[in-house]
Amino acid sequence: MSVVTVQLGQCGNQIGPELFSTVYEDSTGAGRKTYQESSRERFFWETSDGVLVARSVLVDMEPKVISQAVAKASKSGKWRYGEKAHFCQKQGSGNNWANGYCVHGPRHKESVEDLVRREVERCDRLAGIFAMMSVAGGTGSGVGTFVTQCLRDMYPQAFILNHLTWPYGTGEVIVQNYNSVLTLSRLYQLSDALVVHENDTVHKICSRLMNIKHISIGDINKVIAHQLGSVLQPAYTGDSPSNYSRNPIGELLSSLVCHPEYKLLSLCNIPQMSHTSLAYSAYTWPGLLKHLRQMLIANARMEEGAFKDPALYVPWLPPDGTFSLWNSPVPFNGYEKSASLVSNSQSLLKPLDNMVRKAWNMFVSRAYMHQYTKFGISEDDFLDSFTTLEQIISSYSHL
Amino acid sequence: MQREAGVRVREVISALRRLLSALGLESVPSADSFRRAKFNKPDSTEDLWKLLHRLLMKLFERDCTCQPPPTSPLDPELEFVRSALWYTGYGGWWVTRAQTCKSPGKIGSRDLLLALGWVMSSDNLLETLLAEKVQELELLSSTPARVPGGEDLMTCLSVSEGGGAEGGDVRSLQWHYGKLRLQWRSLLAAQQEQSKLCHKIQAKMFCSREPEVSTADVPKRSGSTGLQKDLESIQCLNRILEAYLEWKAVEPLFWCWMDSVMDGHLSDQSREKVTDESLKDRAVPHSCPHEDNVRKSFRHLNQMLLKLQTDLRRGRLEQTTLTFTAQDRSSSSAQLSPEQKRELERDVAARLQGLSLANTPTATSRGFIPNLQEPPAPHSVPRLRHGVLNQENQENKDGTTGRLQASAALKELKDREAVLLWELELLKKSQRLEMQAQTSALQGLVFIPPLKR
Repeated sequence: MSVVTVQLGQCGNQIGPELFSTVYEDSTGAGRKTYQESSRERFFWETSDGVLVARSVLVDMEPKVISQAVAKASKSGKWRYGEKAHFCQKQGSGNNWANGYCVHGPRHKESVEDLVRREVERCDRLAGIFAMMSVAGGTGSGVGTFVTQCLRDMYPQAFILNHLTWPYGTGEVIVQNYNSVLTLSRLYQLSDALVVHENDTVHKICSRLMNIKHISIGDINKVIAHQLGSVLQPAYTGDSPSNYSRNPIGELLSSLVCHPEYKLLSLCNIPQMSHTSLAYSAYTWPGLLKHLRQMLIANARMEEGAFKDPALYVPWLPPDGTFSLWNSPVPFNGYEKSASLVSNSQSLLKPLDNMVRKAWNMFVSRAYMHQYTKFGISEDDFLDSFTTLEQIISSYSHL
Repeated sequence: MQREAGVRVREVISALRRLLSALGLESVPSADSFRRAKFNKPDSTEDLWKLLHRLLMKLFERDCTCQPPPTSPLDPELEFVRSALWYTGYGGWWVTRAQTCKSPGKIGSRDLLLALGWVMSSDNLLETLLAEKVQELELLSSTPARVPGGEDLMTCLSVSEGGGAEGGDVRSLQWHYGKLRLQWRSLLAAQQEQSKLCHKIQAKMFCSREPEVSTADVPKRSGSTGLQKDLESIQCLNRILEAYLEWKAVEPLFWCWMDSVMDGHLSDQSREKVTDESLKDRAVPHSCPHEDNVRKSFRHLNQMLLKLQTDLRRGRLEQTTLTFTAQDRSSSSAQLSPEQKRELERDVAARLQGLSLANTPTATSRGFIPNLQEPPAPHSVPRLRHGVLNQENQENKDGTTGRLQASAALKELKDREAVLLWELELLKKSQRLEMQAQTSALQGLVFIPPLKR
């Protein structure tokens, strides 16, 4: 039940180390032996001298971010990345999806496949492949999509979970909507589930809940890592109520993404607060859960019901199939009580719709198209991607 | 030298016997039986007849469910074997001329051996049996690749409920189907983990023993019988695959030995001074089709070389005629002929290279056992099954027993694939040109080539 992480592009390689640090800190601070062992086996493997090495493959077209990540991990002395577990080139992808998908991807396919295969072989049991990328850039989205395709070909029965970081609405990359549209349309078929974090939302969490004055990328990454960690750490699930689950990703998927048309998952976690106020908080479980429910209904990701109300769920599913509860006796990451909600709902519908609309406006005026056509992505490919996304939007609208 | 050759033949036939036993054929005759059959000794006739009969029954058991009418005066077993061999194209004297042979006892053991060789070499018999056995023992069969669409489920629902179903019910079914598929995948991952751990246990406990002994000696776990059954079927499957790989390594030797049997048979026939022409013709089907393939490819190669040489000669002739007759022509045509010659030479070189690449025997064209880990190699077979190759293997290639490092084998196979694809492209191009030339010659017709994908 080991998870192999594939960190793609700048974003993936920044969130990745944060996630591993969070998981490591959480498992160390826990004090419960089985939890620690379980968590360690999931994300790390141990060398003969007792050093923990992350089960991770780092891929980027520029060397800077990867070297920073590797250096930071080694410096911490607690865990590190494998020596040969990364792949980087000298030139980047220029925020161009076509460059990543058509040029860099095929060129380096063998090396990346080799790296992933080695990590997978090291696992006794592959719980799943967790790919982390952003949809706005060139490497993360383009190369990431290509790598996901290769992984799907290599391991047709394995669980592939993609973590996507959606850019700010008023983004810094002009063609981010193109990149996002092209990525999402392809990943929807290749991946088993897409866990989405929007930069906008996480930014709001940081600013309003955690009272951080000058929000940096590091803060945002920490929040994302915290939320992901809360889902991926060992827990007692429906299938294994007395031992930590050995099949976390499989169970997550079979509770949430059984239908092939509905694959977008959103994540929210409470409480989120700054470290200084942790010691002064007191929460009760009902309060937390009511909060989560309100967040779900109000579609807000920032703030605070039982989840048994059938009005929340689609009518065509049996009531006991819609809600699964996982719990863990061990407090997570310093919070005395913490609750996370992973939902497959219409909450991502509006951002998706906005993104597609903006991309379409740009496409209609053929803005920046030559950047993509020169690498082999034709207008037909764009049209296909738009069609797929319209279909997804329509499916979710009719939920 | 003779004894060495004899020992080799015994090993080869033992490998074949192991494979046939593993595939489910009972009481395969011993290696000595086979060798006595080569010299047409009568005491191995019955054993070989039984083997032939059983093999043909297994091959045709799905197709042949009808029994010959009981009123027929002929031996039903003999009739069945005869008709089965006739179906596979064997033209031995006792198959084509039924009236000359009324009972199996009259057929010599060598004839039976030749018939056996024919059956084995035609139509990938062993591979077919292997595939059937593997499918039988395979624990988890594959699931359908896609979730059934709305229409499929609608038809299912309408059949079961006798009425139109709402869209919501369809989605619910799709949801449950998806859930089942995901759970199946979880089970598959669990099974892979289980076999990996079994393999680790075996490797640790029996690292110094012989492979055959180790597979039989796994201690019976006191745990669930379901697991035990799964373990047994995996072990059985491993045995079959190991036997098959061993057989593949020594198969060429078997066919060389069969050639010697053929030679013996033909020399006996010539000694009898048979003057009947039709019988001599009938001798041709006795030859091993395996060898026929090699002869055919040689003939093809000869023809290609001849064609290329005539093209070259023609090119040279044209050049000389052009230089003789082009005294008063413009310089461009004189420049054309050396161009033509160069192009022709390039073509010829390319074709020769292609032919040599396609037809050089590589290490992979003989039988080989992929070497995945430190010996004993059979331990690595379970890993091979799951399509995972360990590329950390540093052992050298052992040419005498045909062991090949997995990565080298992969590389060679990939090269071969590239060569074959290149050949395919050349053939396609030539076909296209030919078609265009032919259609341009036709009057009143416009040729629109199909869209490129």
